[in-house]
Amino acid sequence: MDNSAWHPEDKEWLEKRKPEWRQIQRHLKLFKGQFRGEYLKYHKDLYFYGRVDPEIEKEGGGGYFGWALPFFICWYHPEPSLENFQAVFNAQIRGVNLEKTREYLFEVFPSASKFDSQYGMLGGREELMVKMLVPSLDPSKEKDFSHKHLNYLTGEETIKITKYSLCLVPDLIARYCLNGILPPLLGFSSNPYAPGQYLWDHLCALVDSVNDESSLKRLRELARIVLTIHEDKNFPNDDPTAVALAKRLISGYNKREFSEAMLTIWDEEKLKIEGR
Amino acid sequence: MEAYLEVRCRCDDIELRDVIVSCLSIDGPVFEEDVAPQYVGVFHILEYVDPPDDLIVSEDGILNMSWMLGGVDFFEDACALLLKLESAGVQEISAKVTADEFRKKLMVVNGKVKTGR
Repeated sequence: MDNSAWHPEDKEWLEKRKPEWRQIQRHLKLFKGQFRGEYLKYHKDLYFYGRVDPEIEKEGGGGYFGWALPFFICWYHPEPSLENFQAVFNAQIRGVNLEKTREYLFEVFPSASKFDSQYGMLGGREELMVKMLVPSLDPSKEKDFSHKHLNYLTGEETIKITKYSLCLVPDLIARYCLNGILPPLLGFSSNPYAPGQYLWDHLCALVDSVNDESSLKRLRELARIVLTIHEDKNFPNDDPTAVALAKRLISGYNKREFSEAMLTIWDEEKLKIEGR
Repeated sequence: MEAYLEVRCRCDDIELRDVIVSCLSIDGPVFEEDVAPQYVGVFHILEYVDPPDDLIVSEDGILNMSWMLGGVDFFEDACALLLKLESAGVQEISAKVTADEFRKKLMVVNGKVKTGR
């Protein structure tokens, strides 16, 4: 892997990394035993030295990284940027490790909800990771990713293009998105960077194709919460995450920035509220 | 499967006890340079031991700790953890592992884990 952003030879740099490492250890503990004990050695090596055993890297992280190595490289990356994350994406050999990474981002990791209210789940890298992993508003699309292919017999390296299938049906987008947005508005979550919230534009584009009744009900509930924020005594006004999210949504609605289908749902809920 | 491990042990050497407690804490040393040279060995023994969920040190030098252990190998993990504690320098280690209907008392004697009922 490209570890040019890591500077372990610089003692001061290492020292500055320690507080986040402690935060990461706390979060790894939430995985209920999956990344504990000796497995931590591999995570520590990656976090401080940008090192992954080549055999483990070839396996997309193997059990040590839940076959989701890109998830951890991005999380531990000292210089998070879309460009750097994209390079991690492109360096993968198998699409399955990217799909596992997406699973970690939206499902495995958020199921543990006790996040630090400042650090969130991944210290604010969540939005970049969503952009890397769900780059298109059309989830039926496939994305090309180029990667180095090593011919073990000749030692020759070539660039190969592989398809990365987003494979996210609209119902799944709706579930992921609402799982990120609704809990803070209901006072249940402390992750200011819940990844689902960054799928709002995707959901707007796809809402017509969402069939899951429960998600559609939750979407209407979301609209009602946001539209009645000033009169709802239960709204968590003391939670900056919830307030910022609600403001962003109400502003988007007032400026009619949502898709037509999404605006229709919100308009219907508004009418119901006004007719009460 | 989840198992609950409770450990009780003694460490009369106050300085060593402080190092052990620190090494078992998430906020403890990260690199060997973070501990005094005489405790580098202790640091490495405990470097990847998960911090306990609870750790109470009583005035008479007794450490009471507990861990939630995950996975099917919880018993082996518990035994390995007790041996690491012994290598780090604590004495009189006794423990209890419970998981559903599984319940075992453990004791460390001369580098070996003995089981009781």
